[in-house]
Amino acid sequence: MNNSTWFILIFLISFVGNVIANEVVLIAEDPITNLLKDTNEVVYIQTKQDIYEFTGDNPLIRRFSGKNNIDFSMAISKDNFLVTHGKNFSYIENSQEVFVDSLPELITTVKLYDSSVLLGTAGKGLFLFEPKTRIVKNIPDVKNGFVNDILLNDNAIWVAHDDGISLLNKMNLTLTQKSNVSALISKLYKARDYIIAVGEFGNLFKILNNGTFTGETQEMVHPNMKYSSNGEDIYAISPEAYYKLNTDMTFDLVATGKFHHIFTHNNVLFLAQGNKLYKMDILQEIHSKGYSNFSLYAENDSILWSGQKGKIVCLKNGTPVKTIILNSNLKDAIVSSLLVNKQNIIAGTLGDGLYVFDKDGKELKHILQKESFNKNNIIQLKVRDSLVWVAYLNGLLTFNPVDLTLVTDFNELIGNNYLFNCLPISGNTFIIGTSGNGVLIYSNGSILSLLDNHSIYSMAVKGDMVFVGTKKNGVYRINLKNNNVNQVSVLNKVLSIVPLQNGIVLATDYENLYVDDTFKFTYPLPGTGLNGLSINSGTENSSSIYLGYENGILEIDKTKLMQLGNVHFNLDKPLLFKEKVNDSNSEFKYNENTFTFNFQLYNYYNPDNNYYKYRLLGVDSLWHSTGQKSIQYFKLPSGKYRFQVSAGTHPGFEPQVIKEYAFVIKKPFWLTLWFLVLSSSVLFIIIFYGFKQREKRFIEKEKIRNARTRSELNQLKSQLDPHFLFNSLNSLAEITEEDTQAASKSLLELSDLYRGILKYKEVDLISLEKDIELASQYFRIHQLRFEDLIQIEIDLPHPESKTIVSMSCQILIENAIKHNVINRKNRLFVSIYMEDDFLVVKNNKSASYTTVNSEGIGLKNLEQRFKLLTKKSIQIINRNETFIVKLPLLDG
Amino acid sequence: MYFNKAILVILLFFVAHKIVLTQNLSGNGKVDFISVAPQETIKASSDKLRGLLDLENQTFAFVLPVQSFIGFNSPLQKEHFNEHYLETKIYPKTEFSGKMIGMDDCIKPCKKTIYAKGKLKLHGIVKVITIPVSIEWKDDIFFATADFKVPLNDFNITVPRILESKIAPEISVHVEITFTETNE
Repeated sequence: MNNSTWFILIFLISFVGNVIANEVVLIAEDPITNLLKDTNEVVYIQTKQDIYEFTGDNPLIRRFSGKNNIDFSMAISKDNFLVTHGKNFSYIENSQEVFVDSLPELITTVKLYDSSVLLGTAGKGLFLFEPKTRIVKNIPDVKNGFVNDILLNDNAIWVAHDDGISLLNKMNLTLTQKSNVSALISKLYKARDYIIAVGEFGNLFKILNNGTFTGETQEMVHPNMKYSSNGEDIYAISPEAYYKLNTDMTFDLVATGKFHHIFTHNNVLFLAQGNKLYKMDILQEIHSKGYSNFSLYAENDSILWSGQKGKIVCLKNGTPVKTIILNSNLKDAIVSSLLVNKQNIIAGTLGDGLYVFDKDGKELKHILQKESFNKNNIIQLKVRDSLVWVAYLNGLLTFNPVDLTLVTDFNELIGNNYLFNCLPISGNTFIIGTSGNGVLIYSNGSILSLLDNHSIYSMAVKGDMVFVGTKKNGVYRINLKNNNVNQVSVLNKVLSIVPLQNGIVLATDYENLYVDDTFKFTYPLPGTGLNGLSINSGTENSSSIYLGYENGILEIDKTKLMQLGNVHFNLDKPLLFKEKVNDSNSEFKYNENTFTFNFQLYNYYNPDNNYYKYRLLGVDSLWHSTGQKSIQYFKLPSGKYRFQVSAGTHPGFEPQVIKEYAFVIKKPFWLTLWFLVLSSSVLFIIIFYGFKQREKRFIEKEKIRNARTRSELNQLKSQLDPHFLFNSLNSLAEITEEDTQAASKSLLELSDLYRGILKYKEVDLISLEKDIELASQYFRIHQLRFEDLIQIEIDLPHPESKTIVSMSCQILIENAIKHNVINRKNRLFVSIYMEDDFLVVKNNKSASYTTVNSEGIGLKNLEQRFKLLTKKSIQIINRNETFIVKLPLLDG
Repeated sequence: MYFNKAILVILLFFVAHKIVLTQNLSGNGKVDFISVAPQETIKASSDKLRGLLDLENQTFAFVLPVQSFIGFNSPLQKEHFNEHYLETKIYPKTEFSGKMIGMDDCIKPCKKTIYAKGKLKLHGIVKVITIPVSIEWKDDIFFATADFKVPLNDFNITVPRILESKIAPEISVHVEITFTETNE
């Protein structure tokens, strides 16, 4: 670039013995006395006898060289000047002196007026010189006045003289009014909305544009102050420092330095120190809004350090816990950059060099370079690879933070640029943002210059991308891999870029907070409550972003950052009967059924204009709108639910981003499926079996009845058997002839028998005693006929304690008699005895054992009856010579 | 120009005659200057200051022959002072004349600080300066004292760079003058 040629030039035009440093914009041959601007905004430097053209960083071109010292000069147009010396003035055209004249009195000031020049004198008033006609006119309305200064204001020409200020009509230069400030005004400076009149004796007066003195005055900080105005702001220098004049007329210290002159050109501030001219726009910008938090550093999630004027404040969770006052000669030196590590706090100031404090606030080191204005103005501090990078006004160096020794000085690389910031990337790569010369990427010895002509206000690296905020051209993104540059947004004055994991937070000059590195969505600062305020510093920890502004620090919770169009909102865990729900639980008992859901859209833009839509799936699937941040459900029945909520910034929005909470209300156990199924199946089984049992019982009953009926039938049959009655009656008849008593006894027995049969005919079980009695009676009746041919033997202990199927013995005896031939040769012996729980009826069998007519039916019937009534079987043992039937007995 | 001529006439009159003007005061005084530079401090003074006050018009005029300064650190230094820096052969006198500001409310006896604004001619260069002056006016005496700095560059007094550490760029000047009412 121009660096090498520039270097040579400086060497050539400077005197031997002068220390050459890359500190200045230019070095002239002689002390600089003035900065001129012509009608085309070409800038000239005036020295004692010469006028040079100044075009930025090109070498100076001498445009005029006078014989005499120049008191005042005015650039009319290119290479056309007016130069005064004492009472004389020269008009220079195309760098040649073409006209010389003198005024009656010492010339005190000159001012360009259209293409003419107004000249003020020390006592003879105001004159007008027209270069074209070369005519000098006296302005009669300012006569005999000691003119000190002339100001071309929007609506009038202001002439400051020993008696005050006269306002002249711009057209015809006639007096319109006199300002009501009565003091000796020596200089007039135009600020944005008013005029500052500098009184001869130290006071400043604030005067409105209509000439009215507001009454506000201010004492000068130093008796010999020089001022300059760019039409908006007024800056002042004293022999020791330079200041910015605030609207309330207080002086804001910008930086120290011994300057002799101060000029403004466009929005750039120049300060002359002898032969050297310094460009001061960086510091000017930093001071332009009067911040109190100039630098911020988040040490961890609870501690935040804030660099302010003359002090460093430590905030713990938002509360100041420690203040470190800078012990410096410079009152209220601005702490422009901060770095905090485990042991120390490193603070860079504007004008007062570098401080190192320990955590208790004790000053460990103060690096202040004598006679080096630039090195004492530290713009930024960054740490990388355990090195501290210090960007000062026009240079960059690294130092070891442990022993504070200088590691590398990058001055040669920087050239003639002023830095706004530095960004170390890796050991061999760093990036510098300059004011007016874009971005310089220094990598492994090579320098790449990008974004020429841009002033770089802020930079941040995110991955392989470097985001660069410029003064007037918005934000650019530089890809470090291929050095591609893209403009990603058109913003104004991006003062701070804080890179986040998922985006970029930009604090811009006054309007917007951008939270997305696609720059599609903005977040107007008015929503934060900081209408129109400027943000100039930013830092972050793991949970919050901090932005420093005029009166405080804005803390933004990272989880709540909102992007319009892609809303971020929060759905809290629901409240159950006003109690917060246990985190891990989303199943509730049947009686835990009243829920309150709270949700919140984080809308900094218009916090009251939030709209929500919600629905509870499980109840219905319709979206309901609400403007409230809470919804309550009472006595929800058991079931599965999903509560959904969506948020937006206008009513009727389409739910896109939905937050959900799913939960289940369990049924009470008696309603649960398993229970119901089980119980109903059990019930069913019970009923089923109940029916079955009934059926069985019916069947059994039927069976019994059948059996009994048949037995009855049989009994009746047998009892009504004519043979039995015939034989019985025959026997009786025989006995009656022989033994009437016996016959009557047998008749009674027969009637008893029939009476017993009748009685027990319907009964199933009778006592053994009774049954045996009946059987015995029956047997005796038969004995009438058979006499001693049949014999019975009964051996039963306690027959009353047993129960037997009715008529069982009788039937067995009947069978025995029926089936055996009974004669002298075959006698029947029946034995009835108990064996275990059985009644045993045993009889012998005759040779001709017949089974004639209804064979076994009686026995079969008895078998059936026993089975039904006792559930026990009878045992029939049919041997050759004996027939045994064992009848099971029942107790009772 | 007119004004300057008037002053000159008055001064000439003063030198030649005594003029009776009730509100005119003439005075004698002294001037000290000191140059504090990193490598050298130079002091010199002169008691040949002559001044005239016009209290009615609130104007003043002073004159001082530059060659009358004595002191310095060496005669050679004085020689350089006269021949190279101030070129006293060409510009023998230094003059300061102008207005007194703040005298409106000063009625004898009066002690206050006023300002003197006027043209200082030195080394052939005329510059308008304003300096604060402490005055005390009581009985017959008008006493004035002032301290101000003179930037050498403003008056075309060039110091070679080699000597920059020996001569200050701004010289501190101290003036004391006593006026008495002139009587004829």
